[in-house]
Amino acid sequence: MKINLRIQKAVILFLIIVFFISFNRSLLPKKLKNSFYLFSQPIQKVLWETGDKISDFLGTIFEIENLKQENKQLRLTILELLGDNLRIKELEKENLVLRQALDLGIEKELKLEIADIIGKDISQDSILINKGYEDGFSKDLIIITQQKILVGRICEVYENFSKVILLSNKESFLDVEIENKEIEGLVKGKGDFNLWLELIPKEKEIEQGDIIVTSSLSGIYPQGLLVGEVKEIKKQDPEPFQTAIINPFFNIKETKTIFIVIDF
Amino acid sequence: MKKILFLIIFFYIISLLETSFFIHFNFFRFSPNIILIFQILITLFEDPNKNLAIFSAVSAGFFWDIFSENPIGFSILILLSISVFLKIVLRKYVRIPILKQF
Repeated sequence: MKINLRIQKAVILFLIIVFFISFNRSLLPKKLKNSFYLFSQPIQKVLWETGDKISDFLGTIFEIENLKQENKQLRLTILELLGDNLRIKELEKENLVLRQALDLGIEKELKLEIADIIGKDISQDSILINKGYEDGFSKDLIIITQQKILVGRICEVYENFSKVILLSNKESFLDVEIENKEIEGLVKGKGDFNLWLELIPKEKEIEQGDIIVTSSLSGIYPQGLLVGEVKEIKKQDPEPFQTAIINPFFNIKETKTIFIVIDF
Repeated sequence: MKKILFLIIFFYIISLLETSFFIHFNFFRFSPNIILIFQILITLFEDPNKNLAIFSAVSAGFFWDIFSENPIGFSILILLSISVFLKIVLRKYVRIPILKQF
């Protein structure tokens, strides 16, 4: 009798699993998720903005001392940047003249579409944006911020929404190079906003604070989008490559509006 | 029936808060999964011989799946397994008088 009951339970469990598998293979889950997002969007928008404001307020209280120091540091940086800015303007003029002289076309700008973040996945490292295939979006489009910081790429498109996996998602990896150093490597997401730089030959010199930008090597990402800066370098004797922990430039909490690169 | 309806609305609101509100706050770079915490608490504090926690596991798992990348059913099965396991442990091995009050 007991065995019969166990077999009955096992059969029910098996049938439930088969039902979920076949359900997920159809288009229904996408439509179901889309309608839930559509229905929840106004509430999510309000919650996102409220959470953002409250965390900003609390953050300011807890970080007043840090902010003072950061302010001092930033003032110094501004002065340095002002000097750099003047130099860059000079270089820009020179560059323009040289381009004209060489008869080169001005570099094609990125074709962008704007979208808002409305939610973040519980399992983290993925976000939900308020545009989908009705707005012409498709899978694998790249997401950047206003400052040309790479955020991630679209992994799933619904009718009016899209799911974006962040760079730090475990499934994310991209070709990168270290600015001004001609060193190329691979950036891998490690989950929970952690990024690692890998496959850097040991003989190459990388330093803390080195800026990492995207490389056009694979043809998936445009050249020169900002990724992050080197935080900690890890060299182990038996390994042929060195790795580094990266401090990502994107900050999902401070970002509300993002841009989708339609073409580059 | 009223309790089940309440649980469905409760977990829908919790899912919205989790995905859009609480992600702005973290404790030492750690964001707790509130859906999972509430589901475990409901299972622990319910009378081990009642089955409301099973319904709550289904609704919690459903909303978890809706607002995450998971295929629908994945979290339902995980939360169901956790709740059933806790129920069995509570029924057979645990005698905590304070839990019986709820």
